[in-house]
Formats: sequence, C-alpha cells, structure tokens
Amino acid sequence: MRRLLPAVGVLVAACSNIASPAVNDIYEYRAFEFGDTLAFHWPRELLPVRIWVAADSPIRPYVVTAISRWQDAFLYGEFRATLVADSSTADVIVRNTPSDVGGVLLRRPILARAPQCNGETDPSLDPSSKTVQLPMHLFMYAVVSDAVPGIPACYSITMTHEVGHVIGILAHSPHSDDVMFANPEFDGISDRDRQTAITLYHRPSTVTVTGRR
Amino acid sequence: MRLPIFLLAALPWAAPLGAQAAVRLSAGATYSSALIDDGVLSTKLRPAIAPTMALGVSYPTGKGPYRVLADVTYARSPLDVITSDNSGHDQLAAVATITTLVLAEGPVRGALRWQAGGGAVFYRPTERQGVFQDGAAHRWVIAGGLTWTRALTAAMDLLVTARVDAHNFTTDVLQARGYGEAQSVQRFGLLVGVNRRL
Repeated sequence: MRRLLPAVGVLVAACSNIASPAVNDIYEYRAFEFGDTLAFHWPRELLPVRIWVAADSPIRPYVVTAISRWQDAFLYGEFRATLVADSSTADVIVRNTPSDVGGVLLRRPILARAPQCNGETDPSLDPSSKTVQLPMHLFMYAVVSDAVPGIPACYSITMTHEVGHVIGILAHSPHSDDVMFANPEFDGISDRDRQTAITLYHRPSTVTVTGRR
Repeated sequence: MRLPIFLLAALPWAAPLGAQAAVRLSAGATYSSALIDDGVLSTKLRPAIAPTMALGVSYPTGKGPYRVLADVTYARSPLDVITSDNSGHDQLAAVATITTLVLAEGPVRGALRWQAGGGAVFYRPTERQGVFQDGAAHRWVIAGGLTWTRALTAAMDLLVTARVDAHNFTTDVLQARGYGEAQSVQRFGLLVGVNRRL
C-alpha cells in the first residue's frame, strides 16, 4: 500500500477555493419609472448579443472597442456580443446619425454628451409591460465634422458609454471618473463601472426581452 | 517550446535505448474540477469532460521493475458556467490543455503498476475571453495513477491508465482583479491505448 501513497497524496493535495474579492463599489444602475424599479440584463440564452453597424461606418471601430471593453469586464462570459452583417437579424442597431426615435412615448433615449459628439441609446424599454422590445437602437454622431480634432476620443468614450446602456446600465454614474457618468470623460471602464456591471448581471432582471428576430 | 524540455529531462534517467524502451499511445476522457469556484458571485467555471489523447515514452531505470515515463496529454473541451444565483447556465469557448509529465512507475501487483510524478499544464484558450482574456496560462502540476497492461502480441500490450493530477489555478486577470491565492484543481483521466515495446 505504501506504493500507492503518492497517488493518495495527489488526491488530498490543496483542496482550497480561490478567494473572491468583494464587489461593492457600485452606483445605481436601475431605472425607476412610475414608482417601479426596472433592472435589465441580457439573459444567457440570448448571448452573444447581435449588433449591427454598417461595414463602412466611421464609428464601427469604436463599436468593436466598446464591445471588447465590456466583455472583458466580466470573467464568466455574462455579456458577449458579436457583429452581424444584416441589420434585420440584429438585437442592437448602431447608426452614425442623430436619433430618429424622439417623441415616442415611454422610449426616452439615454444620452451622453461630450463636446465633439453625442450618443443616444434607446433601450426600447416599456415600463408598463416590463419588456425590452428588440432591436435596441444606438446613435452616435459628431456635433460638428468627423474631421475635427478630438472626435476619435469623443467617439471612443461615447460609444463605450452607450454600449454600457446596451448591456443594461440604465442610469448614470454620479462619479466623473466613470465612463457611465452623464458627460463622460474617462476613456475606458473604471473599476466602479466594472463592479456595477458585474452586480447587474448577478442580480435578477425585472425586465424580459421580446421580439428577437 | 517547453515540451521538448520535459521529454529531454527524462533521458538522463533512462537506460540506453534497448528492448525495454516503449512508446504508449492512449485515448480517453478527462474530468476536471472547477477552475474557479467564486463564492461571491455564486459561479463555477468548470471544463466539460474532455476527449483526451496521450503519448508517452518509457524507459527502464535499471534492471529492476521501475521505469521512467515522459508523457504528453492533450485534452480540449468547452468551459461550463454553473451558477446558483439564477443567472443561468452557459458554455464558453473551448480551452485546450497540454499536460507534460515526468513520472516514475513501479509495480503494485501483477499487471497493475503505479505512477507518480510532476510537470506542467498549459492552458490554451481558443478565444481570449473571461478568465483567459490575457491568453494562455500554465501551472505546475503533480500527478499519480495506476496502469494495467495485458499482452496483445509479443511486442504490444493493451494499456489502461487511470490518472489523477492536481494544480493551483489562477490567471493574470484574476490576480489583477484581487482574487487571492488560487483555486485547487483536480483532474481525473481514464485512458485506453497500446504500449509498444521498441
């Protein structure tokens, strides 16, 4: 039996779990409509989220970067997205134009404003039925010209902010060093943005998704 | 390029190439415990049962019954996400593991032999994602097991190997995000193949 001791030693060696850090540095990510609380995240069965942006759009590289940033905020694949070639199959449609959904009742765009460009996300969220009707729409456009200095940085920040709304952060951070601040200046995802997104995906969603094509 | 190093490491222990040297080729499956058991997020990340192939070269260490074995094992399976907070189950992109081991081997009883040794396991994700968003990772590993052989021909044996190994898992991104220590991972493999004496 002593010859079996090495194998037994392997079996009992180091049976400890990794020490997970606390996730508690967060801001409010839910929306409050008519006294009700709305929390949304993409269910795993709809992943990867299908995002369309025109192949020749000048904002396409910023969409790719924003997707990558938010995907990398998670360790367990809670949010994943892929670009699709056909907008008719998309869950999210991204356009390099001003919003065309203004004035639609209960479909208020969530805005981000930086000096050179604007972003708007219409999550198509209906508070009365607690549903998100796909596709969502995301708009980002230059206030002046695409050639103005500062536009690339503005696009990078604003697209990351708007994709933050797409993943389910329905509110704005009160901290100016977060990308989800209403007038964001931070080009990336802060620890607080990341922890907020993680919290969002590990708490129940009160909203269901309809209309996937 | 570390693979040849482990193979070369076995050579000084080996007797000159002769009738006792043997090559082993096996296939089977590997079960792994969770790479991460996140108590805060109630989430486990565990490789699915992985189809496995192994190639080994063994040499006698002298005139006794002991041998040294240099062994390379390849397994590949998707990562299962298992949650207990109702956020759903999921499967992420596949991860391949290449395990290189140097093992000592000796008799237990009859056709049964023990193995014990160590080496390294190399994780090769097919996508940079989640805990593997920084790419590949490698960890030291200890291993043990049992083999059973039955002669098929004068030069070839049927070989059944049951092996367990253990390592501590972590990645750069886990450490960067404050995950302390490491997750102990145990893997259990069952392989069937042939042992060809040279």
